This record gives sequence, C-alpha cells and structure tokens, in this order.
Amino acid sequence: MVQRKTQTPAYWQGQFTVNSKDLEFIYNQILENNRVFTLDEIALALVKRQYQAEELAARSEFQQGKLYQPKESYAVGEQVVFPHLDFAVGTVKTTRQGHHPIHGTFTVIEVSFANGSPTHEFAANFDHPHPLNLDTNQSLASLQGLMPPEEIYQTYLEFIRPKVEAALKNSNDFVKFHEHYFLRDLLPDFHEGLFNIADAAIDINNGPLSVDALIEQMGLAEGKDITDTLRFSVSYRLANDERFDDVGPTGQVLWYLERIEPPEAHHTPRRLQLDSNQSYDIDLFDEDLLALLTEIDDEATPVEHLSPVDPNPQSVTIVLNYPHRRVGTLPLTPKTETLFPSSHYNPVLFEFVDGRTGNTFPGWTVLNDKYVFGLDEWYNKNKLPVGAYINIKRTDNPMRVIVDYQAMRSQRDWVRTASVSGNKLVFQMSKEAINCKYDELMIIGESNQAQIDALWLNASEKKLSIYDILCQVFPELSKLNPQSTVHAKTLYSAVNVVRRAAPGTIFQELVSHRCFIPMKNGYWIYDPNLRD
Amino acid sequence: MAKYIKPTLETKFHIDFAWWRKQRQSLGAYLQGHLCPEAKNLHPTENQTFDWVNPETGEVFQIDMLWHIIQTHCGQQPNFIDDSLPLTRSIFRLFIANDNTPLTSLEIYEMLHKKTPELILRTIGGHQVYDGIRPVNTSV
Repeated sequence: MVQRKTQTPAYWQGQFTVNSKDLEFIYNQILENNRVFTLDEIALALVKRQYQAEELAARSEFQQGKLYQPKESYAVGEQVVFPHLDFAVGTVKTTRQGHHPIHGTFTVIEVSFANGSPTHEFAANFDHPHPLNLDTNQSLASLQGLMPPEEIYQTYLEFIRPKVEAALKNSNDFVKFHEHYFLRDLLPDFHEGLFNIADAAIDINNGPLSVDALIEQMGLAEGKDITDTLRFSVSYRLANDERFDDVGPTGQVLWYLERIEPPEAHHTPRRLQLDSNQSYDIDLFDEDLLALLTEIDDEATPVEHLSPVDPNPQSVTIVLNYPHRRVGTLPLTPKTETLFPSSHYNPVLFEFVDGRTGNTFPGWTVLNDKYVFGLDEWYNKNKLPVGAYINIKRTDNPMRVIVDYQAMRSQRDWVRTASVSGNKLVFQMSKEAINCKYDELMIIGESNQAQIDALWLNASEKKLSIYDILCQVFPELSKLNPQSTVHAKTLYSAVNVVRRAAPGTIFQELVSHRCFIPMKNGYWIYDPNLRD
Repeated sequence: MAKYIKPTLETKFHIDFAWWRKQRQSLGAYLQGHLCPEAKNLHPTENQTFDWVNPETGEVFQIDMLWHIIQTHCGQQPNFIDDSLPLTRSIFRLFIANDNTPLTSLEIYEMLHKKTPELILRTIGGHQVYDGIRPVNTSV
C-alpha cells in the first residue's frame, strides 16, 4: 500500500524541501495563469502537487479490484478494494437482500479476505448518502479520512512557508512585492520618465497616492481596467526606486516620497533604543512585579509576560514614560497596537486627531520597532509631563486615531523633579504647573533638559549598568519620602531618564541585589551598606 | 492478530458488534435493559433483526430490532442518559442514540459532561472491554 508521507508531521517539519522541479512547476503555474500569486497560493499549490502524486500512486493500486462504495453493485467472485480498511482486497462470496427499518432494502455482500479472517458483510446497492461514496472529484485520501491539502497546509504552515519563501528568494526567476510573486520575465518595461511623473504627482498631492491613482497619472491604464498584474509591476518598480516608500497599512498600498518623510519613520529614535541584552528571569519576580510588567506601558516587555488584553478595544489609556515623552512617540504594545493602522512591511502614515480641538496632524506607525511617532509638538503644546495619562481612541476611519489627555484645572502640584548635579541625576520636590491627570508614581519633571541630555549621552558612552544607575537614583528618590521607600514604577521612570531600560530588566536588578529590600505593594528600600 | 495500539484521547470508540458476536453474548438480551417503560409495550417479536449499516465503513451487522426502537424512541427521551447511570452504561446509551457513530473520549466527555476525558479513556481504552465498547479497528 502507498505510504502517504504528506500525512506525517515528520515530513513537513523536517524532510520537506523545494527543489528545482517544484520551482519549475511554480514558474509554469504563474506563466499559464499570467497573474500574481500570493505566497500562500504558491505554498498550497506545492502541497497539492505532492498530495496528488501520492493520490495517483494510490489509485494505480486499484488495478487489483473495484473500489468499495456502498452505492455500487458487486457480483459474486468480484475483487473489491476497501480503502478505509488499509486498502484490504477481498472477494465477494455471496450476496443476499438486506433490510433496514429506515433505509429499506439493499444488497448485502459477504466478503472474504486473503488473511483468513472471518468474512465481513458490507452494504451494496445502498441508495442513501454515505461518506464512502466517491464523488467524481473526491480523492481516495478523503475516503480514508486523511487530511486534504488545505488542512495539511494550515497544520504545517509555519514549516512550509519559510522554506517556500527562501526557495523563491534564491531564484532569479521570481520577483516579490510584499507577499505577492510574479515572474521577472513577465514584468513590463516602463520608461524611466514615468516615475518622474509619479514623483511629481505625489509631491503635488501633498500626501500619499494609491497605486491605481499613480497608474492613472502615469497614463498606463489608457482607459482600460487596471489589472492586478499592472498594479504589482508598478509597485515592484516603485519599491525598488529609493525615492518612493509604501506607507499604507496591511492590505493597502499607498506610495509616498522618502524625502518628505520624517527620519523617525525609518530610524528608531536613540532615546527608544534598547541595549541588546534586556533579558531577565521572570520566575524571580513576585506578584507585585509581575503585575507591574503589564501595568507599565512599555513596548520592550515581551507579549508572553503580559496579562491578556482586550483584542479589539475602542479606546485605551496609557501612562507616558520619559523616553516617549522626549521623542514624541507612544509605545506599541498589545494594548495599543490594534488602535493604529500598521503593516509588517513598512511604516504607515495616518492622521492623529486632537481630542480637544479636532485638529489633525500626521502620525507614523512603526510596527517593527513598536512605536508610533508624531506627537512631539502635541506633547509640548499641551505641556504634558512624564506620567501623564494619554487616551487613544479609534474612529470610524481606521486611518484616523484620536489622541487626548485627561485635562484638569491647572494647578501647582509638588512633583519630583530631575536635575543634574556633579554629573549625577538628582531629584527634589518642586512645585510645577500641571493641567492633566497623571500617575503619581511615574511623574517626573525636569529642570534643565540640556544637562539631562548630556548626562544621558555620558551614561550611554560610559555604558553605565542599570545597577549602577539604580544605586545612584535610589537614594535621591528615597530622600523625598519620609519612609524612605520607593515604588518600582518610580524607579523605572527615573532610570529611563538617563538610560533606556525595560521594566523587567530593572526589576531583575532589584531582585538580584541584597541592597534592594522589598517592602509591600511594589515598594522597595535601599541599604547602601549592602551594596555589592 | 491485530497489533495492539494504546488508545489516546484522539482514538475513536464505538460498540463493536463483532465483539458481541465473538463473545457469544446476546446483544438483544442486553438491550432489553435499556428499553424505556413505554417502549417495552412496543416490544417486537423476539429475535426480530435488521441489517444495521455502519455509517462510516458500510459494514453490515444483523442486530436485534430493539436497537432501532431504543435509538428512535427511548433515545429521544430527555432522561435516556441521566446523571445516575454508571459511566459505561451512559457511554453505551450515547452510542445507541447516535447510531454507533464513532467518538473519541474527548467527544464523549463533551456530550456526557461526566468524569474527565482521561478517566473515560482509561475506562474504555483498557484491556477490560465494557459492553463491547472498543476502539474502531481500521483493518480486517
């Protein structure tokens, strides 16, 4: 009996490869169809190809006998193959009339098998629906209850896709835009001047244009319907021209000019950049610290360390931290990311809507580096401090997102304020004019931004460890409190003034050194005498 | 002899009529105990049989007409499978009610809400066969 390797996890997880014959097959598929294929379509076509080869081999075995199907009739002495019984071949010994109270009369065939087992009886001329009755296009595998190619692909997609993608990438025959593929040989030639027209069209539009709009402007449609192949060809050409950038969300291609994009659309601001080593052992954290990992809105905390969130919220509120406040960004976390239009391929240009005034201004979602850019002026205009609660709300238009803060009557509050003294970060309480609600544990004012920037650069150059910074800032913060306790959130907020660090990395230092002593509810005290 | 494969939570079970035949036990007599009071009055002539067709394999077994009466009448009563029944008896009735369509331990648990899938598997997947409930055999 044919062994169907496509039904085994071992094959897809390990042995499956894409060879030159497979690539030739894909090439011919695209050529014959003369259309763009998605990666999923190509991968599924390869799965089907292997599945069908096995099906063909299995069918060739039926020369031994007639396939058993309840609807068929069989004569005494006839050889019958039973696919659901491991393709056992039996011989019809006798037939008789059968009776069922609902199905009525039919034929019962008595079948003997070569292995000498007792005879079995099966229904024949059975005029009722039965899963063993094969439709014209049905496979033998389905009769055996085996996985169809679509199910195979869904089950082993994570193993199949990367191998297909790598094989296509290594072949010069195929060109790719996003997850769509076409043949290099079938790409039309475009005159270079057409792309100067595209450049000018976007410039004049003062905003991104869809590929269809550009095709119209470039005169490529000539009154005819725009095909997916033409869309692909133009987009592929634009993607390989450094003047142009796709800034559309997933499923939408919108072309814009690289020269008028802010640098932050492509380069993570230094204030947000983390050292490569941000690992920590979550098993060392107590319940308070574990809860804080979710409570602090930091894109650097891995998703698996966060409590589940509403997958489709209408609005969320987050607390602004120092690095994001300084560079005019918001973190993209599981809590916030569904509110913003995004794409894994490129930064996405959208519109922020000021929740107070209704004014709009551009925002950029940089999904791969987990931030949203474009709020610098808005933060400054509204004098929002570190620790401010920021509301983000979706609108009917996914390309417009409302941003707001929780306003209150302006008052002068006592706020811990950072400044630099003797090349160290120091804190004191000072009265600051505040016009919004904020997280008291996270709020930090600053008296001289230029000095703090210099200190930040210095800490970066000297590669001061998180532990060293904690030992510097802890006494500064504890002196502001009669109990000398400091909350872990406050330590996170303060450390991030001079060094970008994930909450988990800071908590790891707290639990690893005996000079930091845990109190209740996330508060800690520091004993300099116990410093390592 | 068929190779023994240890059943898992994914293994499908059914009432194996061949087992009843091989054990020379009377399925008809056993089915009497599953008749509801009302159906007892509809009791057909003794030893009346019909050709039951396996809904998945097409295999035919001549079984007592009581099966059909219990399935179409008693099996429709709300208390046919009640909480007071022992586990194996509940599973047996579940298979009568669904005309012996094979089910995994997980599926049985989802329908009965009794014990746990693991306990159901340990009960019907061991060497001791209860009421002919056995894993579905895919070879002859």
